[in-house]
Amino acid sequence: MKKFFWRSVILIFLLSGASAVNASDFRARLSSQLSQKRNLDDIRAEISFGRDVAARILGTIPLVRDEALTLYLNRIGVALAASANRPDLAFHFALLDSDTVNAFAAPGGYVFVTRGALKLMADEAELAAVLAHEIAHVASRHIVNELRIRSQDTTGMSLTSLIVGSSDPVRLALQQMVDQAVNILFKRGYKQQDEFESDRIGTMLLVFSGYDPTALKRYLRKIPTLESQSTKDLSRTHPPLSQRIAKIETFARQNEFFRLKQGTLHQERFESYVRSH
Amino acid sequence: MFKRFFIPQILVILALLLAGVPAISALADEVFVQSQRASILTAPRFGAPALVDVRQGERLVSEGKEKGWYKVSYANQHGWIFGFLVGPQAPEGVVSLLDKADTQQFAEGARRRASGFTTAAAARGLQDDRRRVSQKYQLDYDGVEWMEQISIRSEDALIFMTNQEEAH
Repeated sequence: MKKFFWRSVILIFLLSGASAVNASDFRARLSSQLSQKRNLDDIRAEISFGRDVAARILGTIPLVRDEALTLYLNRIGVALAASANRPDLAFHFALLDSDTVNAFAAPGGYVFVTRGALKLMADEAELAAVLAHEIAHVASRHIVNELRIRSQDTTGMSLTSLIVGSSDPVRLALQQMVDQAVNILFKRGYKQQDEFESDRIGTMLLVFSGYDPTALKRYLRKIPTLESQSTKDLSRTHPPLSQRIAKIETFARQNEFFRLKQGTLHQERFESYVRSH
Repeated sequence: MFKRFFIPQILVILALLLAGVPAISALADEVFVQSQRASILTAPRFGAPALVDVRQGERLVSEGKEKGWYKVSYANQHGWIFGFLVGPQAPEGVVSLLDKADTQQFAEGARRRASGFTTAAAARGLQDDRRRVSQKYQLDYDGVEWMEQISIRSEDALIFMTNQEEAH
């Protein structure tokens, strides 16, 4: 009996090697998964940084303080965002007083569309398409990831410390990060793959919200291809429209959108809210 | 002797070890629905028929990943969900900086962790610091605050979006 006991102990000890491998594998996987998780301070840092970027956008292009129209944009945008993967963010939508055709999104959920873009749209589905594309940039944290914005990092120079700091070097460092974000939005543009991803996710948000899934494609086709004053910023910061349209068409084909029931346009409601302002 | 004592022991211990592996994998590969509502589809494409609808916060067991889609099991059904709709942790509601207590907590937490970098400055509050961020560029925080005042509940927005009749 004693022999049996000791042999069992030895066997368990030896076999625990296998168990350790599994446990270590489990820990590695869990650790990798946990590393993708974001803590509350990361989200707060993202929102706080986004507010600074939004203030710079509004300092560059004036806000249209039309409550009824802004409320309309927010109803559409918040409904679209309900299908996104960021229930931790309160999204805010606003109109910019500019004739250029463009839209912007700051981290944390601040989304803007210009009067020029609104003029080009034919119905609510097209408006939803543009807002959904911008929601996708925020939800996928394109700027946050590119600038490596986290509440803390290993260098000790965290965004959190930048946001709450007030010494001149700290303010300068935060200003430089805001500059980089504004540079992405107004000059350099997102990475091409980020734009294509936002087109795909934006189209997916349209599908989930019951809008016409071809709305983004329809809107992009209307943007003048010849460089004009109203579209030069869009051309500089985005991939060529023909490439974007081709990729949206491929996405629609791969996902068998033709099987989906026809989406809504809400043209009358759009006219009623937008054309009267 | 060997057959009598060792083989049964090895078999029992191996069985115990192997039984533990799927349980560990399932625990490691769970994902949670982040969108308000979503459908698990029979195939990884939007045109595929829906198998079952799931709501925000529901836990799914991930069985694999393919081109941005998760193969998942839920309520004894196996299907596909678009990766954008799920996340590694359960949603915990909207995070806001507008709430004073929330902002204060953020600043205090930051002070604790970044004490070598920031000290009394954080106590002055986030808003003032933001206003001082840049003297070179125009900043419109009043505009940001105006935007933030327009607050819509997602439930109300969803009702508005699906209502065909309502016009301005």
